[in-house]
Amino acid sequence: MSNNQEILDKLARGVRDMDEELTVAAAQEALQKNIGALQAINEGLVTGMNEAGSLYNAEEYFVPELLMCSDAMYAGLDVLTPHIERSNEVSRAKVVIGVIEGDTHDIGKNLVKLMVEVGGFEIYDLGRDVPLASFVAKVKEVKADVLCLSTLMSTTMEGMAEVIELLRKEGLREQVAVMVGGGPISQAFADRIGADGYSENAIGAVELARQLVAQKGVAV
Amino acid sequence: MNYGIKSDQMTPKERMTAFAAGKEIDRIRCMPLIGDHACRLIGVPVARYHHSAELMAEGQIAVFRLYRPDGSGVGPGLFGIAEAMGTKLKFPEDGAPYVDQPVLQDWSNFSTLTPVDPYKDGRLPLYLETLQLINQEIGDQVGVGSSVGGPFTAAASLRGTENFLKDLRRNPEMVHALLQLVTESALRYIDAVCDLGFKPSISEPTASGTLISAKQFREFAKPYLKMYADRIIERCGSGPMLHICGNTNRIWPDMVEIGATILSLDNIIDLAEAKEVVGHRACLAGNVKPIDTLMKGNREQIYAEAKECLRKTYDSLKGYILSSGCGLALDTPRENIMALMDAARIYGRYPIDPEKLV
Repeated sequence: MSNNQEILDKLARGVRDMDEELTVAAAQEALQKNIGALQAINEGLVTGMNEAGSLYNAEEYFVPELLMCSDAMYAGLDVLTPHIERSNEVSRAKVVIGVIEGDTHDIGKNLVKLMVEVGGFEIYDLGRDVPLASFVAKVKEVKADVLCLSTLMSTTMEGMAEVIELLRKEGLREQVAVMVGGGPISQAFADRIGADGYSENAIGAVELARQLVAQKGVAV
Repeated sequence: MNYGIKSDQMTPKERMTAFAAGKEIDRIRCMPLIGDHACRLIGVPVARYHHSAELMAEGQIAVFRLYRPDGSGVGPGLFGIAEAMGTKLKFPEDGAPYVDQPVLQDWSNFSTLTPVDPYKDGRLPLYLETLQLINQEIGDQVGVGSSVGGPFTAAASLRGTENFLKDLRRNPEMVHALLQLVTESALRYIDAVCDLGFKPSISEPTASGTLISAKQFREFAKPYLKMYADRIIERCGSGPMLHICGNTNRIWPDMVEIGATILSLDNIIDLAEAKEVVGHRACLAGNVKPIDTLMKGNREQIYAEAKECLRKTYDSLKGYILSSGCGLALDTPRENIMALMDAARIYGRYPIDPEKLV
């Protein structure tokens, strides 16, 4: 019989070790033991994903491994998410995410989406090759708090600057925090185009999103 | 400022022949990865260009006449083989084609896939025709080649990259079966190109160290890349140029072992490091930044970066070719591409004076 910490450790290990079966079993055990779903997610699954991120930074894990870890995480989430108790008064902060027009590389964006969603945000994924105006339209439609722009290609980077300009023209710039990321992106680039933040990876992206939203005074 | 640019004393073909015979040449070779920018020179939409042998030939001939790079050609590129095997591509009016619907959404229809007939399938016949049209017009002045996507990139385009990368761990047997099949397809295309007297080169971005480990490269990309290179060596007498984007630091020796004679490297690579590790085993090519420098920079910045590349690599034992780190953007200014060629003519003029490269 496992105690609660052991179950949380199993959840983390399942994700980190790319073991969907273990993750699902641990998730079910967590529910049986009345461990809160949010706690199981944050202290189990997310811990595992953070460890995977460290292994990636240490060049022990590469993209295939991160993808397998995220599959295990999704399997765990399938079990746990229906049991999350959400307080009705607190609305989740809204994030719009997508890959810039002209670019179809979306693996990085999908990893960020996973982490941000699990981080407690309500996410609107526009997919890839997203027309610049569509970002603005969605931000307006859902009253997004954060906009995450992604690209892998240097040829499409400037599209991010254009989106920010379009937001300004629509009078939306002040109400949404803009985060940028992707292979050719850097803090310097983010600063130059007037973005609110840059994150080098998916794990950092959640933290950044939280900070940006806290600055706006929205609860997550 | 007067840079004293001397126009070329030799055609690329004369330069190549002299170089191969150990004779003196006028300047270092320069072959930026110009690609689809050709559309801008002849004023046609990219989508149309990719569907017409006449337009592709016209475009590449225009590229040669304007810039006089040391190589010319067209190829099915990253997705042409996969397309010929059933993957659906999207052709933006004004942008590079990309994979829209991989044909292997699940493995169940793998048995329906067959190796390509390069004279019939997809747009492969267009490339074979284009190569001949280019050769008829300028083949006496410049070598004509054909860039084909590597096995890992082609397989990922058939399966979908995300699924393919996951399959490396969860279904390696099918991955190998797929790699063998695409290799069979590619060898048929390689043979068709060689039958016409042209030499293929290989581009393998998906196998980059930015995505996979060196171990995964050695297991899943290297053996098949070697089959491509073996065929090219057998048919053409020497190994191909191999371009892999992104981080290749851990796989340079593998690229050499594959049989590549020219390693074309991305701008995030330090050419000095590459020279130290493999400069004595293969020619190096690269790596001026395509966007920051060639697209957005000016003549002075292009000269400065070309000088830096030359300073690091001009004396590399197996030779060095000045080039871009990756494919150029469609709208790279003409003056900038000319500036890169001029940089080879000024700073790469033989005998190269390292004093002039600071």
